[in-house]
Amino acid sequence: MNKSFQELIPSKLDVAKEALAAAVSRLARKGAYIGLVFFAGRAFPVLNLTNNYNIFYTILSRRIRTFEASAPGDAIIEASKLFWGTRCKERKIIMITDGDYNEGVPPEAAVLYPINNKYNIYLIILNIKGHDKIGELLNKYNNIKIYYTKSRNEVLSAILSIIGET
Amino acid sequence: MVVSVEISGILEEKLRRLVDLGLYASVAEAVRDGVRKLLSELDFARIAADLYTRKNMTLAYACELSGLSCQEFIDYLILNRIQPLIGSYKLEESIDNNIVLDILSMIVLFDTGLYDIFVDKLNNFGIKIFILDNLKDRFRMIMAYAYRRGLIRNMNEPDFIHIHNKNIKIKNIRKIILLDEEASIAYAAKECGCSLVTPDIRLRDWSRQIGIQSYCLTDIFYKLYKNNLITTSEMYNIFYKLKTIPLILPPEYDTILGQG
Repeated sequence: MNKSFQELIPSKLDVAKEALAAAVSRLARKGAYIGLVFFAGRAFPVLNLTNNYNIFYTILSRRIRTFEASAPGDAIIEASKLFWGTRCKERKIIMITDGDYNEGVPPEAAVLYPINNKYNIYLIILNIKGHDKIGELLNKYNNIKIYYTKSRNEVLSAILSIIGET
Repeated sequence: MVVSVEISGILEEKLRRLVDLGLYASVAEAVRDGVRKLLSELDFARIAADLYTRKNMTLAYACELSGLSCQEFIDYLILNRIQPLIGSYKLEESIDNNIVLDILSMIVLFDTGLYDIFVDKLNNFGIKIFILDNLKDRFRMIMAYAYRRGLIRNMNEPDFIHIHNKNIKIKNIRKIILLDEEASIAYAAKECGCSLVTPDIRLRDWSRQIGIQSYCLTDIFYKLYKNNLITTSEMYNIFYKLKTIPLILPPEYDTILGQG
């Protein structure tokens, strides 16, 4: 379990899905509302905020088509949109990414709206190198917490510590 | 049980001084307060996690020691980057007799919401599920909690078994640190000719050493899948639900995911 992503048979996407499954079960215990956005070269809002947790497992168990490009800025905008018209006390965006940015809205611009509206943003970066584009761009903001992870265990640990703060 | 402790020398003198000063009614009261403070300051979760990594201890025992619930203790281990030894690295396929569930299996089944599908499919397969009589109340409590959270649809109870033979000789008990309940479940399985089902790898290894057939929940789900009682899409769902605990899944499960 402590092997790095490169040595694992499941891809980074599978690791992210497993971490998401663990996160959903913990958030379900707290009765939180959860939404879901997938992104690659574009961002796709898959699920509006809901407390129907079973639907997450159905979505996770489906195959996801992956693309080459990465547009984290678009994903942050789409995730922020999910909160529109809701009366949530705490608004948190957790982004699991490989840290690349090569398409779409610049992440520094995308985070302005959520930061000004006191959303907390957490980035879990699946990267063995420990430095990456998105981390360098968003490091300066106080509302953004970045977790660099090298293995499956570290991703799980990061996501559980984020949920522990909720 | 009463514990007697001899205190003499400087420690005794200091305690008597506290009584003389009127801080405590008696030396015994001062000692009791001291012990209470000591226990409140100890981080039992850390101690349990430390022992769990160093000794051959079952997860249920470590949970009990930590004073946390099973789910909380698993989360504590993961946060400290310790892999809980639950699940299975290798698949065991020869399940053919009735099964006895342990506490951890019940928690996994109810917490993942897989209890309904597990009971239905096993009944169709002709395998009966038993739970130890002593755990009846605990089982009902976990089940009621899962029902309230909407994780299960029916509150169907399995059969409860009672151990008649009180003179059970426990061999190799020193090789593992486990709860009395876990030992009783293992021996109940042996007495009734059933297999023990537990996700705890250490408990399974120990029970196999003493001649009790034991399996993981993952083995049973895979067996049901192989016998076409569970569809591939249901298996995907089961995979992610078991990963929420998170259980260690054998490589065969990755193969199923690769097939879709």
